Amino acid sequence: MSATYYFAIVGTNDSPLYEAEFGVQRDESKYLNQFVVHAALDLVDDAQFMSNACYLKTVDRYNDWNVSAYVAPSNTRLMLLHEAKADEAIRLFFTDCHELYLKTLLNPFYESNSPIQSQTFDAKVNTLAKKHLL
Amino acid sequence: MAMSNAPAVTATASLLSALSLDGNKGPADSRQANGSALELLVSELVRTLTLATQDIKRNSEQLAPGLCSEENVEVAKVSGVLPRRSSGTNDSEGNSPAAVSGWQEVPEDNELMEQVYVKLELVGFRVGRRLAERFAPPNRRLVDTLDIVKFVCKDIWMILFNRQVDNLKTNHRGIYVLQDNKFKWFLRMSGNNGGAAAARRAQPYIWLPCGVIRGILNSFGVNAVVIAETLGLPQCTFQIKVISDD
Repeated sequence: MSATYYFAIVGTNDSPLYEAEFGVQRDESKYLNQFVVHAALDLVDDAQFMSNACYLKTVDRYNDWNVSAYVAPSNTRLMLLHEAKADEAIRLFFTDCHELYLKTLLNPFYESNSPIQSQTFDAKVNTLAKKHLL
Repeated sequence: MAMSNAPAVTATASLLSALSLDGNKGPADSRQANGSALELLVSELVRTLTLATQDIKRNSEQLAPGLCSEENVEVAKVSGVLPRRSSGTNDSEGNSPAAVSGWQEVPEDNELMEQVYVKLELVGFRVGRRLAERFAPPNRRLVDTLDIVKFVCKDIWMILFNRQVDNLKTNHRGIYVLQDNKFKWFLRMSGNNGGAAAARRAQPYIWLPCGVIRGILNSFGVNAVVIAETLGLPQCTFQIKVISDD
């Protein structure tokens, strides 16, 4: 069974700015992914006050899925739904994705909290996923 | 206001800290930007915005005297009336000599300067938000407002002006005062009419940093009002008032 991941960038008003799936997906879990990540946001808020670091490791578990989170300084959250435990790889993945997000932010035409629709961003996230996760 | 632009004298190249995604290029390959570019850009920005706002105001008054509504400004923009400060003929107020010969005096019009203030502050705000994200410390998050203000005083000031703020005072109840005794953009400013007049003319140049500070605080979730004042070039003071949600 190959590893599957669901990655989402959640803005400050709790709506997703970007979503991506890596690996082979099972059909019935697409909408479930969004629910699980959304539910985990509360736990991310709790965990934020516990630690000062940006990478909060696994904040939630649902059946066999783990939810890991990374909080950027502007309170934008990067969430990853995964089955395997791979703390270090996921941390590197999050750091690189955060830098990609920074580059998107630096674009003067990009409004904060608006969906990220660039193809280049998508391609780069996929490359990073292949490099770190798969 | 005579601004002596001597770009060659202290042109320091500032190295933008490279993001690791740029391919791990060594220092030789990293892109560098001239440190005085910001100062030159800001002086042009203030001047251009003021003249453009002046034009908008004048043209909207021409189209509908006494009615400076949004609609008229839009019409003025679409019909290609702005910005045309070099045409001295279609000017009813006779301000064109000043426009042509160069801007030498801050316009007396308070309403105009308020509009310029809003624009400059908004530009600074947007820049501040991006600066905060880009240069926030990568390993720890800033939670305390005092930490955020210290971050502004040390890191952001170092990035923008290559020095740190001289003095930070707080009353621990939401008011912070940042004092810079040798504000970089004021170092090359001089005026003919003495301290107070020069300080007044220098006002527009500190509206942009006000916006930057406000943008940075906003990016960390702190709502504040930032006011700047200068008592004598090259000293300037920024006062941050945090708006608490009580």
